[in-house]
Amino acid sequence: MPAQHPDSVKPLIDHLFRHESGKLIAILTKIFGPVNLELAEDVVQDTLLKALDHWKFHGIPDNPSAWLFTAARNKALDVIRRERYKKEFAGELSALLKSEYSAGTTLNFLINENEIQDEQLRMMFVCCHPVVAEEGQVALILKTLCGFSVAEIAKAFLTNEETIAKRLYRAREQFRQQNIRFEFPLPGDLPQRRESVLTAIYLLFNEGYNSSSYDMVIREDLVEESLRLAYLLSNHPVTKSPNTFALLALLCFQAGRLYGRIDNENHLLTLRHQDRSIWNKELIGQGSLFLQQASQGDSVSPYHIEAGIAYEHCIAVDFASTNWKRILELYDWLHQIKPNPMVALNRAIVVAELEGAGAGLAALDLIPDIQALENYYLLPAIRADFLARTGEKSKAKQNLEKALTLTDSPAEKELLKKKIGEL
Amino acid sequence: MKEFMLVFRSSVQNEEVFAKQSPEQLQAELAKWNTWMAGIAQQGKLIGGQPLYPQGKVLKGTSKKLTDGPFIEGKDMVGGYLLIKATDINDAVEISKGCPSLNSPEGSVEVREIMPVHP
Repeated sequence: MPAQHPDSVKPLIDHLFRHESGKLIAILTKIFGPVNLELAEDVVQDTLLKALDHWKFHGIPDNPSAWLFTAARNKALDVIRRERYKKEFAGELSALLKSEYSAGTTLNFLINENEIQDEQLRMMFVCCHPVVAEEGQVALILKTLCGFSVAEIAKAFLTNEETIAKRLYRAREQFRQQNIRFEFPLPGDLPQRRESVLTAIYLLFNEGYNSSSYDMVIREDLVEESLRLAYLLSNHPVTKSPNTFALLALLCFQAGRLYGRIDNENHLLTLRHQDRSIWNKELIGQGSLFLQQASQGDSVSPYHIEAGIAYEHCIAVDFASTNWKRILELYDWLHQIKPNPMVALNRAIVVAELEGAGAGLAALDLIPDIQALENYYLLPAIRADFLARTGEKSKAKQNLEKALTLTDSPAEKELLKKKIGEL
Repeated sequence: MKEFMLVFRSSVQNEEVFAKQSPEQLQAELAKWNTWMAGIAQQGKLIGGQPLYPQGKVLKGTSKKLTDGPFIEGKDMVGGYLLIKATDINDAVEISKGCPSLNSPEGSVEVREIMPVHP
């Protein structure tokens, strides 16, 4: 996007564009069909460029969102006229869109802001269709629903633009080849398909919350967007479920503590040293309400337990009064239904708090599939912490130095160096 | 399922009024067309079709004599057409009864079946 607009306008339209483009792509994908996803993206891109150009000279209109919707409608009509003898659009809409008698009215009817939530939910299911690989699903959600550029997605995933462009290309190809429709899954497929959507949102959130990407703006956007999408899902009769509420609760508890994790100079802080007074109590309170709603079914998902763990951290007034016993029970439970080395690693931290660093070291040795964590900087970092606490400083230093070689994040490197200095 | 062409005719005057409506009038008029056509589309019976400008040219005979047209002696003229699917001519006629062309006494809908040609 050209950067020739006045600076005062830029933050507003960046934010506006990101949200409006997500809405418009969802509607236009409904109109053109997922097979023509690229056409929908082109129309939105053209619309935003036109807005940028027009607003630069005429100022931002009173209702920028309505302006964009009208402009997108006109662009869509142009595209339909250009493509109507070459392309099929979505299902029974196709013939109506190709006739001058009905195209304008049909577009007016479809391109409005009323049913926009439904469209975005359907778009989520399209993005998370089983024909698309998991890494492609998340990239696609960011590109279509969250208005991220390819460069921004690449930054969020710590990869290059070419890799992301390929993932998006492969996803669009699948839509074309498999003729995917813009709709909610059939009732029989819904529970399973909903789980894929939840997984994608969970990954999206973790990318923002845990990734070592140092661009704080991108990370905040990822967290905000995953909360927004999870909230949309929980707010619709077809897509809400105990698991949806559990995920939403988990995201609220984690996001509520997002700003506690760095100090005023942008240094990472461990949980022990965080200032709990700056946690977002409102968000944490909302999370508690969602967790109650999540408990209204008879199923327990990993999201339920993870939310339970996050909740325990949220309600502890300080690090010392954390209910580690309860948290260990929850980790044991989580490990039963979702056995994975990451869970076991986190469990070891809890064991160390409860029974001492020696027990923590023993728990590390018992992690099944520990090879999977071989290149994960936190494994040696945590081992170093336990070793330091048992007085084995030189071994601790070795592990911290190993951890340093496993992360590219300046913030994480800095924290590790600080710990080496403290030994 | 057979295919039919619906040919919409009206007086020259009506057609010119249609083409020169204000945007608001046009929107109201097209809303009626959209409702009718959306009903046909929902049954999977809409193929396509377009409205036509009242002005045009007419070529005639081997001499290809050119005149301004399309109206012949100031009578009815074609204002547009639609292609639909229908089970038979009676079904096509039933569908045509909803056409907004028939809101005017001069308007007519001619229902013609597409002829599959087997050489």
